[in-house]
Amino acid sequence: VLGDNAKRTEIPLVQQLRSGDRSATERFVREHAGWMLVLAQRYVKDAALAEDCVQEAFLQAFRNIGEFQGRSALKSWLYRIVVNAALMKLRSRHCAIERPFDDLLPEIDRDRCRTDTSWVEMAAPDAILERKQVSQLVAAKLMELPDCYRIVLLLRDIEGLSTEETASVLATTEGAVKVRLHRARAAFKVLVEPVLRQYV
Amino acid sequence: MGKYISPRALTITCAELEDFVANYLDGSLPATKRLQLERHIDECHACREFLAAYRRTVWVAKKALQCSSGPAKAPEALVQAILRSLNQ
Repeated sequence: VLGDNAKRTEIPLVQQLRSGDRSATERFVREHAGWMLVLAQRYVKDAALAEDCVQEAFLQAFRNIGEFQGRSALKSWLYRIVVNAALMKLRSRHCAIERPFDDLLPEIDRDRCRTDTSWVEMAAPDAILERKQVSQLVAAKLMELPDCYRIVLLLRDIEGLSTEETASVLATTEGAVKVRLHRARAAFKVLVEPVLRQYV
Repeated sequence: MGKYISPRALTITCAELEDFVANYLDGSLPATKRLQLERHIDECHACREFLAAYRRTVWVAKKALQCSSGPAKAPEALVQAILRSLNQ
């Protein structure tokens, strides 16, 4: 539910957008298009596709602005719309060639014991990740994960959706979400550790 | 006499820990399995390290995405394309 401050600024803005106020529309687009583009790019990994997602998200937002109830902030509402637009784009794209993945997963032997000794805690103090150069390298490693794993990790760990919500958004089972999430985290750890080691 | 409980039932294998770890971290693992997993972690150094690293990984992903995406400005051509499509 919107707080008092948000209500003061967002409700009049929504009324202006609903009435087709061109100047308010332009301010609104300029304020939000930048972060929406960054968000879409995390999902589709392609600048032109991400731009398409943002454009489609704005069209959808304006088509449905009459239904915006103010139960969440406008930004959260837009956030969901752009993520959905990006997921729709991914569903329609089947041609991505993705890197082999099994070599990134933890090793278990025939006796069902862990043999991978590289699983030591990553030294990743806040200060290191706050350096833009490092955080960008780490974020780039996330983009190396195959789509079906990266998307689950983004939805669960970054956007904070529950397992049930993620399964519903991706039209899959909760079991599949859990398996993919675990594999995505494990593979990401293997990919990112050498990057962090350079800076610690 | 209490019912005999096999030592194997008191804990889990490293492979099973792999299956349960995501549920363990989000609190959705049933109590019995949680106890078995915690008992396994107490005994297995490799899995203890794995769990610590796994937790840290979730945090690293969040933090990196927060810190890597500062205030972003959309290209002017995109803004104009959006405004044109909205005004049609």
